[in-house]
Amino acid sequence: MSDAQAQLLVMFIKAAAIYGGLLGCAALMTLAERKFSAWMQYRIGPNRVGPWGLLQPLADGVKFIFKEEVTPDGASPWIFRLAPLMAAVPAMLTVAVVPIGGEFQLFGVTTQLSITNLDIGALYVLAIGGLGVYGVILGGWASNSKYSLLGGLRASAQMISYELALILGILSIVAISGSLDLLQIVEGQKGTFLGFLPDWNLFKQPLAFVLFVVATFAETNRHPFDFAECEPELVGGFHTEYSSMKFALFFLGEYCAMIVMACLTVTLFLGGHAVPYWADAPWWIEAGAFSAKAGFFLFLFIWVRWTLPRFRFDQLMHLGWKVFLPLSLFNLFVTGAVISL
Amino acid sequence: MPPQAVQAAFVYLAAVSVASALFAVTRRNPVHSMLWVLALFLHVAGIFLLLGAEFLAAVQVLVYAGAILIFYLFVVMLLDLPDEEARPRFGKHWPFAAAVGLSFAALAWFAWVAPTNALGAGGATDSQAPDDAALGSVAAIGAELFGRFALPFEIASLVLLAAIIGAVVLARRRATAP
Amino acid sequence: MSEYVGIAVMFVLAGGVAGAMVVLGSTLGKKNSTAVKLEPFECGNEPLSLPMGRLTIKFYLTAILFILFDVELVFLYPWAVVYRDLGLLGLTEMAVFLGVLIVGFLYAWDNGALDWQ
Repeated sequence: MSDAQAQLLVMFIKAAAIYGGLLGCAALMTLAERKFSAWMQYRIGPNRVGPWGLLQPLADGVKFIFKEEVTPDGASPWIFRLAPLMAAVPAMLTVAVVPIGGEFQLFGVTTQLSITNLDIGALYVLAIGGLGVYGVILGGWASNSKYSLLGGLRASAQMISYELALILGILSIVAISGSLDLLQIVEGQKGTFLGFLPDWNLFKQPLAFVLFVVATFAETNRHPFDFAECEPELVGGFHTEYSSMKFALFFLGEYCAMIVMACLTVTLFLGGHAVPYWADAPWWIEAGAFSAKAGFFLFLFIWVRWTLPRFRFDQLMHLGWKVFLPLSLFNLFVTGAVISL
Repeated sequence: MPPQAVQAAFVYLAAVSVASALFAVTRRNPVHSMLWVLALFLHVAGIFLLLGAEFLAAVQVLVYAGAILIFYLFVVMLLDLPDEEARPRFGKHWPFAAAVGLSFAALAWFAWVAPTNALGAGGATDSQAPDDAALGSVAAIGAELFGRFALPFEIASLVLLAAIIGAVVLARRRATAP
Repeated sequence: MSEYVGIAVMFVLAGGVAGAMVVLGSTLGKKNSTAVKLEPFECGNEPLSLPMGRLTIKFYLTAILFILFDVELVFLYPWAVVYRDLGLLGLTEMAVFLGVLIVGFLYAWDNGALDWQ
């Protein structure tokens, strides 16, 4: 096997493994969501399929495939089919640049545990992740239903409004580390800060961290910002008319987006796969540390959902444009001033 | 990547770009047109990537596909589509549009046949052998933008300011009208 | 450039799996549609007209303000990357740039463009 072939093979293996891991995590998230919801409401939750209901996502998947698919009258047939794909695929693509673990050897090729590493990694996540809006807006439009259309428009207006805060949060990290490369951003967070804390950007950018995490909730249409599927007003939002596997794909896309956002938060603010106080940890420990950190943020998504009531849509837009945008601009400027002085 | 692979990728990207541009102007349903424009933008971004202009490719996706096209979609959704599709394909202004198209084609032809310096683009491409990897990188763009091109950069902010004010004024008039 | 091959592989993988899911769902699911089932959902009422042509201007204004601020932020990426080399000059340049745009932002705020009624 030549060197180029080996590299290609390693890349295919990594892509398949990470993509499989992403889908597996998304499936587990649907179960975790129901289990945690149940516990927080003093119920038991799914417990019939497999131990602790672990096979429930699999059963759900099979059920989704065999359910009847309804395409409403007057729906635009091709766009109606395309929209779930356009919602799910960008979220799955963004995971390609997330550095999950450090270097390791496979077939004599030294490589990192991420599908690829781009010089403009952070920018790539924003650019591709931003394309997820199309699924939402086209799904709402193609359904030929007023609830869907309004839900899609609302969701997309919300996503674009909070994207600004998201970008500014990333930019203040980029200003600190001087690179858009996610791997270099992680490298910059190894070591210690003030002698005893891990050198995470969280401690240098607390305001950006808070703004970023809240913006990820709005960006993924999660509680308390889930206006896309605000039941009292819009029935199911942009996927009111969707059924069977196409509906499932919207959900899968949403969970993939949550996982990517959690990974991104960890990478930018919590040192990514860096293990505190253990600079040269083996790659599988680093991957474990990364998963543990990301898992906390995924739990946070669920925790907040059952803790906070939903905002009103005008409150959401006010918060995004009148609080988050000025605050994050201010934060970036202060960051710049502190660095240069 | 081997040169043949780059060549093949370019042929694919160029062909799909042209094809989707043609589809975009010939579809009757404006939302379908928008989707073809999206395909066009993504493939053009791919061409930028082949040229080593990573940052430009990302900005193409981020701004054109992620922001401007979304705005177009919002506008198209306001249209009465059955009415729109029933209209004649060519509006009254087609001679003007054809003239603009022809002059653009002439310009492209001129740029193609003319020697590099005739357009006054400066000798940068001749004097320094371009280091592809570094030329399109974010750092290289930053160094140029905040060094040599600092004044155009500041003027860009004025252009954006004018656009913000224009948008606000237009929306306000519309909102106060009965 | 070869870094992007990984992205292409991922695109084929993700698009393939997601596309297969849609096709499987369409072909394997049973079909038993009735006229009432195919009506757009409206809480059991007869569907009224669709809200086309009645959309509030707010959506457009939000979208166009997003475009403008997005373009503004595009200039900030190279700035954030080379910032350490530029030093105080870079800070001044960006302060002037952002200052002009903050004027626009305050103008939009003052005119109620950021309100959502």
